Amino acid sequence: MTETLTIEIDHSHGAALRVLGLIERRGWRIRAATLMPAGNTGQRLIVAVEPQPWSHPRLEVLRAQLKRLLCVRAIEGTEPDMPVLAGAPHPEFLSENARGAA
Amino acid sequence: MEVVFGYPGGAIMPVYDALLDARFQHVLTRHEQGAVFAADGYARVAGRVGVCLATSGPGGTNLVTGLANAFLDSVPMVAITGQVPLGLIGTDAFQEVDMFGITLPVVKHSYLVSDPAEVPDIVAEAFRVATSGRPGPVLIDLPKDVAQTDIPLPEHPPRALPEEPPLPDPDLLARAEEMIRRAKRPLLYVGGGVALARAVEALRDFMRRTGIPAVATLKGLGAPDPDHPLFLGMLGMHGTRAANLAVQECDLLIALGARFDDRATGRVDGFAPKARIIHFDRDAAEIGKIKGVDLAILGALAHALDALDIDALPIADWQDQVAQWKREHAFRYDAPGTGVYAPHLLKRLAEKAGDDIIVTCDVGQHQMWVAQHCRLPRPEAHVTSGGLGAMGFGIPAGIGALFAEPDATVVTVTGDGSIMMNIQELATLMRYRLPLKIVLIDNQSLGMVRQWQDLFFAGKRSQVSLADNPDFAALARAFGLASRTLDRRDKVEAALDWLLAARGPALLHVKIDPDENVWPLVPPGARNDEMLEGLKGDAR
Repeated sequence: MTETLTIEIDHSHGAALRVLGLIERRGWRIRAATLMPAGNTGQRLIVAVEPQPWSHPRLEVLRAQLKRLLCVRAIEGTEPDMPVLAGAPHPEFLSENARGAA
Repeated sequence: MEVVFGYPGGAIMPVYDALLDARFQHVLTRHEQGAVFAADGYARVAGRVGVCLATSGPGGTNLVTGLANAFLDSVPMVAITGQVPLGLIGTDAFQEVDMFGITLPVVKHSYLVSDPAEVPDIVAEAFRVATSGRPGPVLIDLPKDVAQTDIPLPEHPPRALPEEPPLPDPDLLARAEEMIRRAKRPLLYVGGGVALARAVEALRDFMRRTGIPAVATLKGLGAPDPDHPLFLGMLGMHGTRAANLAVQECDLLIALGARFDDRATGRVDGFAPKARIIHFDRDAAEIGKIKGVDLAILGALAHALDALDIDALPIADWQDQVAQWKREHAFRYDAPGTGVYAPHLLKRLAEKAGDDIIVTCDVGQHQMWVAQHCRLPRPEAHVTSGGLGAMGFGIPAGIGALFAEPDATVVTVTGDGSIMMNIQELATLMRYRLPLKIVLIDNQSLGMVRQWQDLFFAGKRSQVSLADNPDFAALARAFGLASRTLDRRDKVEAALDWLLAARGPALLHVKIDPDENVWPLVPPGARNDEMLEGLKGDAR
């Protein structure tokens, strides 16, 4: 399933490369990407992603991984420092454990 | 920062010129990889930022393995590389490599400096980023012309204090308390994050208060009190049977700064199958990355553990059970024969060195034997390449450890494969007269690969023989180290006494049975309770 992320980044050297590289490294395919200026000091990166066929990444984890990057100011729909999975058990996660050991 | 490790070259020459007036020491290694691993070892033992320098091109690319090592093990580091002058960037100039691009996957952050005026702020920010939150390596790529430009020093240089972690949510802590009180078979799963969060004392106090048993990851070793009766040792692929059984049977797994690495979990859907999971971590991106959890608590770990209002839990049956597993499945050291049994030697080494020991490891069978058999009194006592598994780490890491704690008993445990990957750093030991004690476990092969070929590739051995190794004792002497060779079990005590009493750099060359294996072993793709204990016909 394709997901769309809207990511506000700064103007630092390589910021877009850093974000796109992380997405690819973490098991996602980039289907489309648009970079545009946003205000005087930032850029907006809109990326459509879907999991690689061999991968089982979670969008919430990708958001948290992107938020670790210094160049990322905000990701649409993500609260700052929100615990990703705090709360009740997640049946979907508890039943899904496709990763085997290497 | 009192010391930096590095190697000069063309594009970094302005920095080396300035170093002549520096108020900190520069340590010249004999290879850039030695410098970055030494900075890593220094950082892990000192609990401060490790700093390394290299020139552009090959100097920088030689740092990459070390940056990846620091990234995967969350080690605070600042690496400064020279770069060709700004006007030459992008022209395939001499010794031009895009260091920013080549290191993107393995750094926490990086800078290509284009304005000399930004240097003070960038350096301060690099130190802050390296140490804040989950630590990691930061690269500053510094073009030669930028480094050559004089700038007025700021009157008040920018400070580089790390950010304090946020306090954990009290409501979530209350929920954790409730889950822990209800559990009948709780277990602590201790990762390297406990030491990074400086929560070792809080953890030990929590274990004393509550009586909850604990297992540790490779990087978690040293955080739980090694003498605690309910500390079961390392879990996972080469973990103890007691630790792995406890994980399989627990009904509440409390992960503390651990990341559910595949070497720890084995087959994920068979990991802690009966347990609810509470995950304490500093890094939100680790929550649910590998395995779903029931409760995640982010923020300052020591504060969280201290705030949990729990005293002795009524879990005597469970405590008795894990204590029984620990007794029944304790390691045995009564190997047949008269040759040196490496696990026994390493156990005795740690016992003799006591609380002053720091072991820096290389990678392979000897690394797992250290984790299994050495008593590790604190996290800093165990410097090991956990995530990356980088052969060649041990000796340079030992150099860094000695600059961090010159009075400690620093021992590098290495193998005949690993030592050759940074053998040139023996010259660095001699230059600085560092009293590193090297235990070289020599099985004339790449033992871990050989063991896997024997087990999982039908015994077909491919490119693992190192039977034509050099004479290691003579090689050490050629560098100026004292050295001895040991090949008999009845000489182990005397050899260890000699090594520990040596005043300068010394190497103990230990010849062992080339067919010795590391047990237990959880085969790839298997559950942790499906561990193998030995080969048919194996002595153990």
